[in-house]
Amino acid sequence: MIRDSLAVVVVTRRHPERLSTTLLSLAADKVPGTVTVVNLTGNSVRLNGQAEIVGSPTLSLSHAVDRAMLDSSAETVWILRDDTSVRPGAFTALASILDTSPSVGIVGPKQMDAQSPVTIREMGESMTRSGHAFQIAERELDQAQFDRTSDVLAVGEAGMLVRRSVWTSLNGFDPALPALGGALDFCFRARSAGWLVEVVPTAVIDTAVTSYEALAGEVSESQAEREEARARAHRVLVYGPPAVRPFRAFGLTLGALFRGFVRFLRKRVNPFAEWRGSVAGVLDLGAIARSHRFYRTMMTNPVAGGRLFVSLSDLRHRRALQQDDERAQREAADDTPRLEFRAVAMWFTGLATVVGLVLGGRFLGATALSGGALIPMPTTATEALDAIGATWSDVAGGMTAAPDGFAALLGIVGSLTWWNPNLVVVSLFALAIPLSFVSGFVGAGSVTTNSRAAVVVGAGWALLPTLHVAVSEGRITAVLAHIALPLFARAISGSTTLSLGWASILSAIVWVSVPALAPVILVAVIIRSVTGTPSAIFALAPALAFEWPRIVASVTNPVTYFADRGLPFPTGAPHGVVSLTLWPTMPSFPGVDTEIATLAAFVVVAVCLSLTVIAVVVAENPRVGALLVLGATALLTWAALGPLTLALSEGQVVGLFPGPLYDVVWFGLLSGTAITIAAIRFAAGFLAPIAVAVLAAVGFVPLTAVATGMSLVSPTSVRTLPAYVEAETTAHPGGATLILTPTADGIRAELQRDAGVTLVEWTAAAATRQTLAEHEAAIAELAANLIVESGFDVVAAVSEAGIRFIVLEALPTAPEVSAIASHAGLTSVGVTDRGILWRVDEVIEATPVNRSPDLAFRLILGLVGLVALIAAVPTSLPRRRPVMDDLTPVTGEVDDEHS
Amino acid sequence: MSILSKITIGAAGLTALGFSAYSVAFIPTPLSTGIAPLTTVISPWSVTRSIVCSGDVVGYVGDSAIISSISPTTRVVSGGDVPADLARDSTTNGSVFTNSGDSLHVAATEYNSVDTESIVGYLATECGDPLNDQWLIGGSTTTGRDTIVTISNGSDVEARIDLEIWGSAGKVDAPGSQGIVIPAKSQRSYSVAGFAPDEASPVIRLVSNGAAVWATLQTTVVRGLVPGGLDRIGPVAAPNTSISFPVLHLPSEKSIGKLLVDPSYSDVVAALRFLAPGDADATITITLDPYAEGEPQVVTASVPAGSTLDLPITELSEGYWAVSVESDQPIVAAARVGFNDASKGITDLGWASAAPAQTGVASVMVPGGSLLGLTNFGASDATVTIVHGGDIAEKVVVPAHGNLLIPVAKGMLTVTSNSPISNTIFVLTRDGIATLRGLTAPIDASSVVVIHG
Repeated sequence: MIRDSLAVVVVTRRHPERLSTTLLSLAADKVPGTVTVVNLTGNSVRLNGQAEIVGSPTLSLSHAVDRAMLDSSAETVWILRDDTSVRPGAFTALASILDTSPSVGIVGPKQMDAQSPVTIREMGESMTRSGHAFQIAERELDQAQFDRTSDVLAVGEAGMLVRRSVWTSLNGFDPALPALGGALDFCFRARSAGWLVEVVPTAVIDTAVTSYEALAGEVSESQAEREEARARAHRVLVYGPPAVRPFRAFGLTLGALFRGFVRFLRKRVNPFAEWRGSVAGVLDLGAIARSHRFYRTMMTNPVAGGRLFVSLSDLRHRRALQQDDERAQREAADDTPRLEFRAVAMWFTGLATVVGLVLGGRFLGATALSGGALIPMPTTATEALDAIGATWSDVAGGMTAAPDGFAALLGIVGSLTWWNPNLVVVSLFALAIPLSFVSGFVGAGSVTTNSRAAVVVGAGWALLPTLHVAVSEGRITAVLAHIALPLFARAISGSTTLSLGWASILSAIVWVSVPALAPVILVAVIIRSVTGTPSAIFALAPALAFEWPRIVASVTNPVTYFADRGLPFPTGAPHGVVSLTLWPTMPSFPGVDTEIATLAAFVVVAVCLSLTVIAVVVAENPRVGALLVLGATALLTWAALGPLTLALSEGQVVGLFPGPLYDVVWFGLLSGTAITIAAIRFAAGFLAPIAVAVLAAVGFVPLTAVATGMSLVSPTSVRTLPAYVEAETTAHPGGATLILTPTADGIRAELQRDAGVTLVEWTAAAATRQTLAEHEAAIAELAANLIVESGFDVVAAVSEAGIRFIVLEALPTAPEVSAIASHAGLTSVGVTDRGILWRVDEVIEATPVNRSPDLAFRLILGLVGLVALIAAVPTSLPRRRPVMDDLTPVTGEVDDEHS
Repeated sequence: MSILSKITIGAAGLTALGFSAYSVAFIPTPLSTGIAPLTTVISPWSVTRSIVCSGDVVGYVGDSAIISSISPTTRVVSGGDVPADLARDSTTNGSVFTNSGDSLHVAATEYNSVDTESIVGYLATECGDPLNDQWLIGGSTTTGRDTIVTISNGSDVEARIDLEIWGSAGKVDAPGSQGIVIPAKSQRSYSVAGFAPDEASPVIRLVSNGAAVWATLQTTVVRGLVPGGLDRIGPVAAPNTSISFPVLHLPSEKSIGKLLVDPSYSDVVAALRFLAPGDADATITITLDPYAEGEPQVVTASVPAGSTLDLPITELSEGYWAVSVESDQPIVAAARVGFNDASKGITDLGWASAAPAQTGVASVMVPGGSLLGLTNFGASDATVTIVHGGDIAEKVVVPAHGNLLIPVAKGMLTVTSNSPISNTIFVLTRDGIATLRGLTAPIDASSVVVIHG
């Protein structure tokens, strides 16, 4: 009989205050045998006459049991901890199994949670074939649902009743697994040695902590995870044959690393804890070898029988339950009302797409777009990516300068459509209206949760002249900023890591495209980090990663930093009072004088402003006020920079394009207007369409510019130089082409290398240069002598400059044609789409230029970009139940939620 | 958030917006960038300016169908080198002068008076810089009238010429007028009658692909069996809305009145020829301003788009007149005046090409004592420096919208002005009349402004 020869070992380490409960429960259940308390607390404990053995606090549970057994001759040992208390009948139930079944070596009780006595904490352990440990029942309400279970792979250490012969023959728990998995390993080895392990549901004990917590006290989730991974690695490598051990070790660490990355992407705390544990386990080679030798000597009966292991389907089921639980907790915590992108928004997006395709249909199917401020992108993704961190630009006959953030952005954006980098530009222009609608709608979520107001903002945003003037003048920077701005407003108003990630990416896009918006972004981020989320300041990191070389380079003339990026193009923007119409050109309307059109534009702004004042004062929406502060920043920037000449293009000085700055003001005004209109419940149904219609009517001319062919941008081929030049330079790269354009009082000379300058090569440094390079003087000398009949040695000059072709952008009847033809050493190729082309007879050896990129720029941008991207990857599913606030009329469309 | 703080934020936003709007409208920016166009002014090396003279008086000798030389012309050159002659089919004719010194101060004029059984009259024309696109207005191809276009290519590159011809009934569909090849250093002459037969008022546009060429029209008149009228007409570069003929001499009623009894002498009456080559009819205002005492006469007319219009000028007193034309559409124009010397029995015609408004140095060789007419289209007075007769320098002021007539001596004449000025020299000899224009270099080759793009 077991009860005749029993040693009860109570190990106390972290919870001596509970020890008396344990001992009292033992006494209450009339458990026979000697009770030995192994005191590992380092202090004295109060006992009621039980034997006490004092040990070092670092002593493992297994060794503690061994110490207790030294002085005992009992045949059975019941292992308890200070946090366990025995319920009546527990011992009897356990002992009866050992008594009746001689083949059973180990039995364990059903462990209930001490804090919640009806919840199962643990009831037998198992693992997957790949070594993941699992509790058979874990944190489940006890409804006797597991009470038919008996034969299990393992039982937990708390309350484990084990035959002394089993304990000694297996040398107790593996010393390599002091914290976690010791019991599982012990039971597994017992089974391998031919013993059975059973859990006894009628034996019930209460435990307060896990085995790891009993050893180490409070442990964090990541510590537990690391320890679990270490135990798993140990298990897998010990039980398997040594021959495959290196491969399994490799597989384990790789798998853990992969899962670590997934957790990293999901922005979990300590994502690589599992990997660190796996590595620690794998590297503990001595312990593995020792344990394996011992395991081999003991093993008589390999553990088979799939029923003992956790099946794959069971595993999936458990994981699904776990995720569902996490999600429910998260959703319960998230009670902020948000603007959702639901069916109404979908319908209006569809409408905007149709409108966009009608108005911008001319761009569909184009291989490239050019005109105005737009020239084609490079033809391959490799060339586009080369622009990231490029220090060499072919503009102005070739120059070296700090890497350009916008060129890098274009390189990244262009490689999104890696088969044709121009496609992304064409798509951006063709889909500007629907993209702006979605952006405006989503962005309205920063100030309102009312979907009707958001539709007004979105529609207004898609119709604004700031967008359509930018589209028709080919200002890709302004189009990008227009689409990104409202999204930035929405992102920066959030407080999660996800919204911070998006805010950082969007702020980089806005800042890099239109540096004049940098003050607005700074103010927005500072407001945000002062009023709520201090970490919002990190949203500036990607923008700075793009722009630091340019900022450093602009120190000598800081104002030029704010010049528009890309190809500079003159603006027709009015200054002074007229610029308060918030039109990026002079307002115009067919059949109406400019004065009247300007007046109409003023009226629109005034009405929007009045409605915004109502929204601010009456609707008490503080966020509109914040948007107006941003708008004021933008207007102040325009007041400071608007009248200046900031860049050079084709020999002309170019000022700032105010569209993106006005956009910031417009966003505040549109939001305020939309909130006020939507708040007038009885009239919103017809006021909203009227507001949108007025905006469409006032912006009629720019809105229809593309459709009526009035836009400067038009579909073109990818080439910027004649096909002949392109074909020749493909065969012999490095040659330059001199492009001469007669002007009113002279000639414009431009040198382009290879197949011509692409959009990514127009760096800010090239556009804002103030001095001529040495080689430019030589080019000027050559150009001036070419267009007159002169005794100039053209051959020597073109060889010096590496020029292989000369293009005269003029009619074949221009007087310069015969002058150029009069020079020896040039052969006329003919009239091309770009002008009249000559080839230099002599074979020109092109001197190669140093095109190596700035690696520090690439590295910093890559790292910062990666962190921002990871932060921005959405890792949770959308809310299943929208949270309504009192502004939102509750409708029946709860089911059709999207996000 | 309390209502008060919400309203405070809103009020702060509105105040900030108001202040920024005020600063946009009224506060000038304190910043500057110093960015200015990057330009370089280059003086090209040893500039070569070539001016081309058409050469001999040409025509059909006897019954020959080939245009050949009838009478040589006298060429006077200043600042130019020994001429290089241009090749015709078997002979040479016409010359290229290249500058020996300053490319701005080179000029040449060819002139002659002819009195043969087929041609009688006086001819004087400036030699000029070749053009790729030029208009020739004048002549006639009706019975007894002969108009020959002479195209001279002084360059080393061949020229491919396309002619477009307009007549009083619209554009003339002229066979063989496209793709005329003029080899390098060569000259070719074609009768306009071959392209547009029996056309009373032709206008020719001559476009060259490749080398620029110098083209002139030579027109002769034979009435019955009596020759009487010769002139050579220089080209104008482009249609314009302001056209001037700074000086024309209208003959007295006494000298030509008796001739007008014979209808074949109708072309000794002064006339203006217009063409509006665009798609729209042009409304023109002609101002005839006498250099003698008198009020200017203003005539308004409409020029139909695409067809030439000859407007006779009658009932004006004898003397020197300045004629200017303002149009609402770009037009080309030329003026014709008659001459008759009853004592010698010589009748002549003079065609004046429109004088372009030019700045800088315009130079011309004056074959004999003549009158220089200057027209200022500008709204302010123009100060013009005139050097003639070798070293006679004068500084004159041409009033705004006014004209000035100055006698000039034989020899090199330069007209230098900083504002656009048109000039014409009217040559009146006992053998006939002619007009000359002082032309500037096509590109101011002394300094070229290069803009870096």
